Amino acid sequence: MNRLTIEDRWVLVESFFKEKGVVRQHLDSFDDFVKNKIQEIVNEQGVIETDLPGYKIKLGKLTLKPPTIHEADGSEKEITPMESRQRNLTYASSMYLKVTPVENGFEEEEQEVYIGKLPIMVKSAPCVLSKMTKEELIKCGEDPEDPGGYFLVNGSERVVVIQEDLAVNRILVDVMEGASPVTHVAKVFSATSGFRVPVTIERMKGGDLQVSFPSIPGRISLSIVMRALGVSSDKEIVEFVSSDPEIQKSLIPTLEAGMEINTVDDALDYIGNRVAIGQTRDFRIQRAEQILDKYLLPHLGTNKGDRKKKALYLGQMAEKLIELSLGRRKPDDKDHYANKRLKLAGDLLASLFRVAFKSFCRDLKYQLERAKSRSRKVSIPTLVRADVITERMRHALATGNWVGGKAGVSQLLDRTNYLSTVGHLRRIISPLSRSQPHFEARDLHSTQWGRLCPSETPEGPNCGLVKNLALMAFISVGVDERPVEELLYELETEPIESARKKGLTGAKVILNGRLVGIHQKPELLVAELRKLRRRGRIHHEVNVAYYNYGVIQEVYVNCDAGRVRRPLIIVDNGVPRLTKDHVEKLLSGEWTWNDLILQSVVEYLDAEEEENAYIALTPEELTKEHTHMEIVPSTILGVSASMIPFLEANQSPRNTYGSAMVKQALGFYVANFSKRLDTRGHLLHYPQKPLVNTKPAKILELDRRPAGQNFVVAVLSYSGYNIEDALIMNKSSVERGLGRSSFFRCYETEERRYPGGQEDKIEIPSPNVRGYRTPESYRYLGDDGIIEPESIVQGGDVLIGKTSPPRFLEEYREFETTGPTRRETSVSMRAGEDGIVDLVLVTESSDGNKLVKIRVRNERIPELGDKFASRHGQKGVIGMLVPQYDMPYTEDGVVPDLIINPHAIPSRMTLGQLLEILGGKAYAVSGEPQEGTAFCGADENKMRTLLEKAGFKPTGKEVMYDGRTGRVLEAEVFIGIAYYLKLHHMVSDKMHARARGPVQILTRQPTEGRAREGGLRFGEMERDCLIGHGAAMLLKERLLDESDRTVVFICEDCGLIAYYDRIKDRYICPVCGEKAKITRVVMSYAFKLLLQELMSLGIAPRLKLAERV
Amino acid sequence: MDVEVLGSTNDQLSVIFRGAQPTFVNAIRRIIMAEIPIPAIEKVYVAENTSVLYDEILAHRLGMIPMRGGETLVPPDQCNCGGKGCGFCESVLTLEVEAKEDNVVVYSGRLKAEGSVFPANNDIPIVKLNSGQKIALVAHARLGRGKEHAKWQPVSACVIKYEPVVSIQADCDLCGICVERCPRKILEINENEKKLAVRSIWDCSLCKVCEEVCPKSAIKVSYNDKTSRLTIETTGSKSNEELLISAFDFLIKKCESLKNSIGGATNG
Repeated sequence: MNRLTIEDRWVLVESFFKEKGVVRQHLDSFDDFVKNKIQEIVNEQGVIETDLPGYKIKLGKLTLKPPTIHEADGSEKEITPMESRQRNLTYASSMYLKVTPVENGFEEEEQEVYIGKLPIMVKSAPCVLSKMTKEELIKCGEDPEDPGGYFLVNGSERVVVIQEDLAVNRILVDVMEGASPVTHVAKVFSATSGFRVPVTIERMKGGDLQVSFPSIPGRISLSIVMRALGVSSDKEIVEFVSSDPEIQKSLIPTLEAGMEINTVDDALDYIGNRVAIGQTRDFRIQRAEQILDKYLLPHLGTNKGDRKKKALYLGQMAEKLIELSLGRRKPDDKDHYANKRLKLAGDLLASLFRVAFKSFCRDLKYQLERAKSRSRKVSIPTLVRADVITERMRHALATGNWVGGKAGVSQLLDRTNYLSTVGHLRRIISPLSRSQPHFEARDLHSTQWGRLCPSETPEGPNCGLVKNLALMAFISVGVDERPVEELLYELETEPIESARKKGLTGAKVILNGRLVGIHQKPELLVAELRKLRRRGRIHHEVNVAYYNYGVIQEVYVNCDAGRVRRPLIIVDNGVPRLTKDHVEKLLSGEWTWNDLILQSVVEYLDAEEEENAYIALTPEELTKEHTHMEIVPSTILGVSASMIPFLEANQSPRNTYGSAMVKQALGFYVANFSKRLDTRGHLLHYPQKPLVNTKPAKILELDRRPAGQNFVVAVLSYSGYNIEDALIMNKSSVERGLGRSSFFRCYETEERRYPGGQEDKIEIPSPNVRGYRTPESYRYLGDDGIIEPESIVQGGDVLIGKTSPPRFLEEYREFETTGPTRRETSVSMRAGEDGIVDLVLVTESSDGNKLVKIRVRNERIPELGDKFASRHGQKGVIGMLVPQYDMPYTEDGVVPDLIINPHAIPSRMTLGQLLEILGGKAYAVSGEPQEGTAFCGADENKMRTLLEKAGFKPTGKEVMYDGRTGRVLEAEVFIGIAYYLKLHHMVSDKMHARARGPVQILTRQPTEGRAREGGLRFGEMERDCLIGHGAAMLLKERLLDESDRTVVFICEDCGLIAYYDRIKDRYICPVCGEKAKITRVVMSYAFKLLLQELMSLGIAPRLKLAERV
Repeated sequence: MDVEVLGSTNDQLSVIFRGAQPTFVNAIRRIIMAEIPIPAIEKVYVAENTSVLYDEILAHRLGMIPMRGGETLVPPDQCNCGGKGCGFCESVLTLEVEAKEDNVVVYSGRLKAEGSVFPANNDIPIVKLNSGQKIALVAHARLGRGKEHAKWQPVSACVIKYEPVVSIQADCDLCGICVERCPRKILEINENEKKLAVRSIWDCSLCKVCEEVCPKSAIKVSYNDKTSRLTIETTGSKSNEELLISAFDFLIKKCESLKNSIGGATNG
């Protein structure tokens, strides 16, 4: 049989992405939300009960229409994503709900009402783009390569970033350290649709177990809670916990603690006493029942009938806790990825929609009651306030402020380059606070292998908390657990209640965190389940794991949503199921990725099931013990790290830096850039695909949206202008177009209408408008008040002339005869920026107002101080531009585009970069492609042979001549080709100087920051320096004269601030009158402000003046 | 100084200077690259441009096209107009293309010379047009020097190479490893004389692989910096020979002016 080569296995990766694309998780999640969850939320509500006797409304089916916009003229029009972007619209579908009013048991006719708009994820099932061919997409103004997976809110692209969360409904036990009275805890976050309630059982020093959960203050003994749930006798309580005698013995302190309370009612009363103190016993019992049903472990149900289940669950928690205290098991690892779940856009939108829908129903109920009290007949469509849902959803997406107080959930999609866009859509945020250390949570965990990228994480406070999905990681959508549960019983799992009665021991079978039964032969059960899954009898999303800690045996069956799973090739007896034949079928297109799953060649494992797997990296190392084989080892990396060639040769932090930097590179960010009006955008003029490329980069189509250029790089110290990570660049190369880019900035304004019939006007402002600039500022404007395309503009030039009505009544001037004048509210170029007007777009916003958008472009030629980087975390700024005739050259006439300093290499150990340069040179001289894919890149020796064959020294070094003198350079120079990125930090965006300029209104000190043309702060340390030198005059000049120097009149008699009355030409002290002795005092305006602030507090700050010495 | 012209192949001209300091040959090299005036498009007046390329990119691409002619043009710094640009120092070219179909590539040959300057090569792509897209522009070419901008650099490659010297010691045992490993394959074993010989010395790249691999250290590579080879490769504005001769003229003129100013200084 033919051995599987690495190339064969890459075919699988390719078919995976061909079928799923890079953001399938988001799309699947959103589709699931639209298809199932949204209706479930409506069904949860079911009916809207009103306070009107016998009147209620039954809620029915919810339907979505294609995305539309309600135009100002009242018409509803279907829109495309591009139109939404250009017109600042929200890409959203109208939701229609079937409602049936019921009056006194009589059902009226069902009607469909419009209840609001739901923002639609681009390229999800309801999106018009999802069904389009490439050509249709292009016709729609879309980039066919755009991944989708984001929302369009008010014209801006918003990503709902994946949120990491501790797995809900799973019992986690831990040991408490320190002097607390608690020794061990078992904690579970019980979550059902909508809310999340933590329940804890704590083992106290005395050995008794105490339960605590929100809505009841303090701890309650487990035995009392169990009794309140209807488990009356001690024997029963013990049975509910465990069948093991030793564990049962450990319950004695707990039972003793609850000795006084012997009946169910007494127990309920005890709990009720905590929450309803001073009420009648009946009421207390009623309250206690209510709380137990609604807030204790709500995921098991909220009815009276579910109390047994809850008691069993508490018993399970107690058992696990006692096992921990007896040393039979270890504390659970919170950072194990089996205990983590990811929340995607669908889940997050569901929680948002639930809240919105609840308030919608509340509003409707109120409206109904109001309308009904006025008239007999009500028309529901007219009462529905659709804005409630629309605005709630739109606002959360636009600001990122989610329900539950989470901020930053939705972010503006990063469009620096294609890779940063894809990377942003695959980012995962952990909700742990960045201010606390959380060292363990930030560490790389072994279960993250193949799920999250080990390299790609930010530096600094978010390190390890913000993560990125690995290439082939896939997130479960969730399947119904009921058929799985039934199957478990079919496979001879003894249901837990009867098992406890019989006192059975064996392996616990846990389905989605809930103990469902006991099985005598766990190995058989697990094997059978896996067999059935591979046969397709149960859904492939069901994962099974078997833990055996000697005394404790547990089978975990999971089928919930949000587990990170990864595909692996199944291995039987050391033979992988994947054959050459399968690869051929994939290549010919006969099979797709899904067929591999259906035929059980490949299966997905979650972190839990992976604990049972023995995975080989390569076919060579397969043995009989192996259960699975990696598809390709390189897929442990994320998209950014996959861009780095020869990554395995680099020191690991360099890959982290490199992953961060490829996301800042300028390139060809979208193919429809000419139609887009991003607030800022960069476009590299002659982008190239990397000479030394990686397989994932090709598979992800990054080659078609490149962000960099291949530079001829020499590692050489030349003239010293490249020390400390500076770069020497070939000036002639730059003049020939190397590293050129265009910068786009968009300006926009809307012709608003104000209440009272007044409106903005886009026009050339007339000179009598308040705030009129000079006529020169308006010189480029056309008759319509909008600038002409291709005008060359500079900072301060007006792009769109606009006037607005006066803002407040106070703006009316006192002696104005002509009436109120309009204000000048033109949009002008940012100070210090210049460019050419690239595009003028005049359209209409959803309110029917005229909307004008202007795009200004600016050519950016590399200059001193611009930042460039290789893909290996080697960044630098241009230190000198050297013309070609001064550059060193080889005898073949090759002149480097870039000279990096040799000192950049040894301490950083980026050997990958050296291999890239070597590989680039070998490719260039031989024409044979050299790949740098991690762990399976080109062989160094082969690259050397290629160089040798082409007549070059195999080391990559060459003799070079100094262009300035013509003499040969003493040392041989390592020279080759490397892919370099132009990063978006450019001097022209940053350089700033000021002599005089604007000051703050409040303090009269110079403003801060480049955007406000601010001053450079003369800080404490600089001040210390002048003091040290005794340069008093200079110090005073810097801190007073050149800052907020002001002259204040002070009354020498009272020491308070006086003033000069210009009309009377007299100095007057408000306290002492006109006769007081008043003196001019020079002081800092900030100090004057302090005096006045003190006065406002009722303090009289008196200055005592003395003659200057 | 002894000069040997190796003749030109592939637009390349190689000249060997014997007995000349490399710095002197380098002066010639630098003059060719930076000082010989040739024409190139400097100003572009865009009347219409509906192509996907921005005006500035289009202008940059036009500037990069090598230009011939312009012998009658006055260098702008010597022109009566004071460098502002006039009919004496500038030559006009026009370009007007409207695409009737998709994917029309506009080549440099479409530039119509109104004056003495014309493209050196007619097959340089300028822009690709789709149906209905149009460009109409007037370009002004002027003389300039390589030190101003790379577009006035008349050569793509202009390099000096020292004469390699390969010396074979007597203790060579003709093992042949160096013959095998030399990347340029310049060594051979002369079977008749039982001697290691150098086939073509100028092909040696001074890489010293032979030195490194020789088990007996019987081979030494060095260079003779008194003899160097200058290779010129023109972009098309002027022939290699013209460039070389102009470079010498320029050097002589520069030396003259230096001599004059020194003479003036001592006399005055």
